[in-house]
Amino acid sequence: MLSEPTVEYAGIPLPEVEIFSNALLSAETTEKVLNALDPIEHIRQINMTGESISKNLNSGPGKGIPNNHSERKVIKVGGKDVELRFQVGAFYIELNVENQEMLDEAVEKIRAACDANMPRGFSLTVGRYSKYRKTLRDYK
Amino acid sequence: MTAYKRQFYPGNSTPAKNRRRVMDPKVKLKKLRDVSMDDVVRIMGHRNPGEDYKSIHPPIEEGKEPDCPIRKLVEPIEGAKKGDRIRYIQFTDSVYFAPISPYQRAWMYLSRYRGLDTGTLSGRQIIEMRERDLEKLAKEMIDNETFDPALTGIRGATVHGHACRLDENGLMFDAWQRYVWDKDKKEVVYVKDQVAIPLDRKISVGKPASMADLKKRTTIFRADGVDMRDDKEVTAYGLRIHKLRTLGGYQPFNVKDV
Amino acid sequence: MPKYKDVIDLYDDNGKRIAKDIPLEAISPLRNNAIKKIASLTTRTVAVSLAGIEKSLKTGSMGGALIKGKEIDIKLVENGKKIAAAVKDKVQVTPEDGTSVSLKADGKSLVVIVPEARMSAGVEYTTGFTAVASAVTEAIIDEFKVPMYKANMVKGAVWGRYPQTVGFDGANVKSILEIPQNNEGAGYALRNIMANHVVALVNKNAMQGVALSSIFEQCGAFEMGDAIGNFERTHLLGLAYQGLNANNMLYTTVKKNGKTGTVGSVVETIIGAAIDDGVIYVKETLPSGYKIYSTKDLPLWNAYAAVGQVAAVMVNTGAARAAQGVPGTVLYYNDLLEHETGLPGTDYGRSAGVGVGMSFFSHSIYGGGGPGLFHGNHVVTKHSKGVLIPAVTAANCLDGGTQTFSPEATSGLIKEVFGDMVEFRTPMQVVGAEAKKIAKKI
Repeated sequence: MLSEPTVEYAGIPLPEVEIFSNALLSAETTEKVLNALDPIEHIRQINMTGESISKNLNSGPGKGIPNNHSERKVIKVGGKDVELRFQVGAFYIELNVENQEMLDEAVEKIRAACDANMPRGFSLTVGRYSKYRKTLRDYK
Repeated sequence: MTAYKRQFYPGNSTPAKNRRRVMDPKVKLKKLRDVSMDDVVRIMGHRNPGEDYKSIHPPIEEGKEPDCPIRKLVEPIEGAKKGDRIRYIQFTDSVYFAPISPYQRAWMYLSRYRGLDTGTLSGRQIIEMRERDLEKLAKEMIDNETFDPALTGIRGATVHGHACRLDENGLMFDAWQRYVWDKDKKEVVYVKDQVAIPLDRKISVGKPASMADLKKRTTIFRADGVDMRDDKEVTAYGLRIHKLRTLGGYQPFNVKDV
Repeated sequence: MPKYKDVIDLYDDNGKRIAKDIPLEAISPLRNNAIKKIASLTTRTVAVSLAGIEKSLKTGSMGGALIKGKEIDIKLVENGKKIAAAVKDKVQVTPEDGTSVSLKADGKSLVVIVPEARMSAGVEYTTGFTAVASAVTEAIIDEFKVPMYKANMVKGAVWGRYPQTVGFDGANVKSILEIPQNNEGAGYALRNIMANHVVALVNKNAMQGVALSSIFEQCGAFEMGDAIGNFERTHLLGLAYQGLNANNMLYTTVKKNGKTGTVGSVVETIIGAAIDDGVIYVKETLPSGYKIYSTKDLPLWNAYAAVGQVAAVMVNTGAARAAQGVPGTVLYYNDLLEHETGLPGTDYGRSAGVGVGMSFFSHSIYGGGGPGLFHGNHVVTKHSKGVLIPAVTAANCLDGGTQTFSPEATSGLIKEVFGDMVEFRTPMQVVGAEAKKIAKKI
């Protein structure tokens, strides 16, 4: 059976902004950053990466008992519930922009949102970091 | 005949000096905190405080051992005499200027203690020893300057985190969150034992050191700290051993005065 | 004229001198008849479990299979003497040719030493095994008048599943050596003896264990083609200093560090000895004060390093009375030694390398196992030839009962059968006495 990727690919290499945090972020900070990014125009999608946190202990004598990690929880972004399964360390923000001017404007807004909410600092780069069209791996 | 005194390690840089310091059994390492023995036992999780030691074989009685001259020369450690089980403690050391790194732990342990089995992996270092001797060693290692509450983890399994970025409070990542940041006291507090079984009460291991302090204390060479290439003695040593191992592997009888 | 100018004093396991000013070649496997006899007995001595055969025949269970309806109920152990006499009659070539057949453990086991004549009439060391297995099979068939249609059961009970299998799976005949097909390469036969077997042979005497392991390993070095030409001396020095306690260095190093010493203090002692004996010297002092050492005789330095390797294991795993620390001790001892001197560690880095891999294989990280099961014929250990396995044997001799794979569990039969053979139990004395005898003739 064919399954569709979770996010629809743009099909063309739209620019992406990589926000690479200097510190691994708490769930609280992640929530703040996402809510600050939420109103910014032309954001097509946001992907996050970080360090995986399991729900239950997956090995050792305590295998199966709840992990109870304070940073693995449900946060609210734009009024919607988002389940965090990672301690977030980077954001990949895909921008649906048509020219350099629009891009610059969006990037500056993103930078301002991060500046206000990531006190331990971050690095920001613009480029293309993820796939934008289907490849063989999407047909499984 | 003059007795030879160890020189431990080459180099003039801070990490090189710190390496010599931790390896030298004559240097008494600074005690920075005092975690009670009962709490150390709780964090390790092998037995309950006050509980008897379990044994794996009958006690060793003098004169009843197999007839071996070496057994007569080599005194067993206390736990071996009693036939204790062999238990472990494992430390994870962050690459972000933790006071010591796993490999130097092995050098340190084997220069300072006897009767232990130790092994180094990329980010962690295990010590296996007879239980009662292990507890003493573990307490010293948690109390002394080679332990930093934020950058050293006591982790029996799922040790991942040594090469991860630190969190917003400066703590090394732990997927099982064995220890948490106490915002009010500005201390690190253990809430789970080394295999993440919840503790019945919290155990504070104190305040983390500042980055500036750690950079002076660490044994770790780093490009953004002291680069190993900047310590000519250390790099020259590495190249020398590599060369001599190679020449020795080829024609050892022809290696003279190199 | 001796080939090498090296002269050594040999000391026994208690640090008592056996022989003084012995030329190095007197302990060479090529010259020393005691070592030759150990090698010879290793191939010629075979153990038969009469109790095992009796049980196998009675239940029809053999070589991993159960064959119903063809059970044979005979009192083999009770008739051990008759079987022994019959086997001797079949194995012996001429009277007084060295053949020996003796009953052990109230007739439960039979130990057979096959005469040299049988070995020299063939080219493979399995002769000892095959001759005894066939002789026992025939003796049982004849003695108990086993009919033709049941005789194959006797073969199965004695030989096991072979030749359906490559090895003698489930056989009730055992040799110290493995079959040639299990050897990692040419000349590995004497390296394919697990440390626990040696522990059982020497009755847990660590010094004798090191000696016997060293003899097996260094004989292996000759057989592999390693100890020849310029390389011969390296191996002889290893055997002399590490294995046979030359100049009492091993014993005194352990004695000095036995009560309170660590791996680090053993490093200190060994370097002190190397400096005092003029083996190494300071080549250069660096700005930090660190002294780089060099040597005019790297193979001799290697022998000193090899002594320290065993001493470090004796002190550290000995203090723990637990064998499991041997790979780590080997690794870090050599690492500390290298950092201390700027000279390569035992076997020019190969022992340290083996220590890394062996930590993995002996700590159930990569499947089950324990240090007692190790021998020189393993993909992890084979690279350090001669000087590593003695350290493993030392650790296993000193274990106080922590191992799942203990000598009692893996090598009970070996101890029962070979445990009182003087060549295996006290090789230091036997080889030392022979070296003393031939010293003048070299």
